[in-house]
Order: sequence, then structure tokens, then C-alpha cells
Amino acid sequence: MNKTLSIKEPYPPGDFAIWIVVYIELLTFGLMFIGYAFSRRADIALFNTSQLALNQLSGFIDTLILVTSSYFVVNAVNAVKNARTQKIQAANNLASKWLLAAILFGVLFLINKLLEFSAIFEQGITLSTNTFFMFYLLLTMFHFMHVSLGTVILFNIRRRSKQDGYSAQDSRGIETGATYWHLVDLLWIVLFVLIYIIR
Amino acid sequence: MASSRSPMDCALCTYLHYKVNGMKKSIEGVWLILFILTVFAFLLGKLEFVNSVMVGILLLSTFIKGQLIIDYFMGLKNVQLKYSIIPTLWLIIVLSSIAAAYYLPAK
Repeated sequence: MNKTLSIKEPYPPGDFAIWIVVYIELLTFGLMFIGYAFSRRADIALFNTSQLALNQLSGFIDTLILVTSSYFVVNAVNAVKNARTQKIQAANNLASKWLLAAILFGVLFLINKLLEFSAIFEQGITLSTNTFFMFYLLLTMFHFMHVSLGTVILFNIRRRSKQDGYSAQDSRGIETGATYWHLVDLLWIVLFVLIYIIR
Repeated sequence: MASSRSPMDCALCTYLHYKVNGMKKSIEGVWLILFILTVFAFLLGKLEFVNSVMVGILLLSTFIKGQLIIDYFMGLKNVQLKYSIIPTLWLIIVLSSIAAAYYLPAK
């Protein structure tokens, strides 16, 4: 019988401080998601009508962009962590290419979101239009800020990988940046279904 | 030329090779599942198939997507339970609360 021996890692990947940030962000967004869901109960018709003003296709494209960029980041981390089997320079070179692809997708997400916001503002919609749009703008703009910060973080870890700064023994920096980027992806997965799809 | 590698080294290389290849395949599989579930959610919304049953299915598919990101992208699958359970609990609490808000009868 072929049984795989599974040994659990004592700590999560990346710097431990990033996990404190992750837990705080999860709590903050989680409260806002629950707040949205229960506020909807007070005026379901208003929420359903307002939701029609949103561009579902844009939200769908945003989800695919973030999921794919997360996949690129995983490949970048794996390239560095598997550097034992190849030269560190080659591993960092490969990681920087994956990270560049992830950054470009991050920028694509931001551009798509700006176009969506601009279409919303052209309709005269603001934070004070109604409760639905207050939540929609608050959640998506707050998330937009996180993607912006995540893109800057990816840019910085790419700069270090271009200087051959990571190896299998020293991959904590790239793992930390990657963890933040996956958090942004995780939050969007819930946000997309809650705000754009469920009626 | 004699090799300086011990048989143990070779076994380790083979293990790492399979481990790395297996990991790569599973990451691509995860991306594909995330892609398919996202298309599924979008089509339900676009075709206005979102009724009370579909809300449950959508939330379940969101849980699967979230858990895949937590396990394979964030890399918590092989981390001690006390750390890996926190994002999973978050996902369960948030999605259950959303379900409660949708399914509980209006006042």
C-alpha cells in the first residue's frame, strides 16, 4: 500500500505579520459583506432594481483577471521555492516573468474597474444615492485600493527577483507578497457573487 | 566519471521531481476549476436563473472557490490546523450569514 506521509508545516508561508494583516482584512470585509446581506433584507426590491445598473460582464472579467493573476503569482513562488533543481538566477528570472504577467493583469483589473466606476458616475450615482450603491461603492472602492497596493507589492518583489534576491532558502519575501495578492483574490470571489450575481 | 551523489540523493531528486510536477498539475487544475465555477456563476446571473435554490448552489460554489484559493494559492493545505482553519472559518461564517440573510423569512 502506497501511503503519502503528510507533515504539516508549523507556520503559514511568508512573514507572520502578513497573516495578522490577512485576518484583520478578512474580519473587516466579512463584516461589510454580512452588513450588505442583512441591509438588503430591509428593501429587497430597491437592491434588486439597483443591481440592474451594474455591469455583470465587467465583474466577471475582473474575477477571471484576478484568479489568473493569482495563478501567475503561485507559479512565481514555485519557481523560487524549487530553485534547488535549477540555478538561482534562472529561477528568479522565471519568477520575475510570472510576476510581470501578474502585475499586468493587476493593472488590467484596475483599468477595467475605473471604466466601470466612470460608467456608474456618468449615471449620476454616488455614495448617497441609496443603500445598495453605498455598499457597492464602498466595497468595490475599498477593494480597488487593496488591488492597487497589491500591484505595488508585486512590483517590488519583482524588482528583488530581478536582482536574484530569492532562493529556496530565502523565499519569505515573495511568499509574503503572494499571500497579500491571494487575499485580494479571495475577497473578490465573495464580493463578485454577493454584489453582482445574487438577487 | 564517478558520481558524487549518494543513492539517497537520487531518491530525493526523484521524489522532488514528482512532487514538483504533481504540484504544478494541481495548481493548473485549481485554476481551471476556479475558471469554470466563475463562468457558471456569471451565466446564472446573466440568464437570470438566480432563484432561492440557485443562491444556495452559488454560495456552495463560492465556498469551493474560496477553499481552493486558501488551500492551494495561499498554501495553507499543509499548514497546522490552528492557522489554516481561520480563513476557512471566515468563509463558512460569511457565506452562512449571507445564506441566512437570504433564506430567513422577512419580518
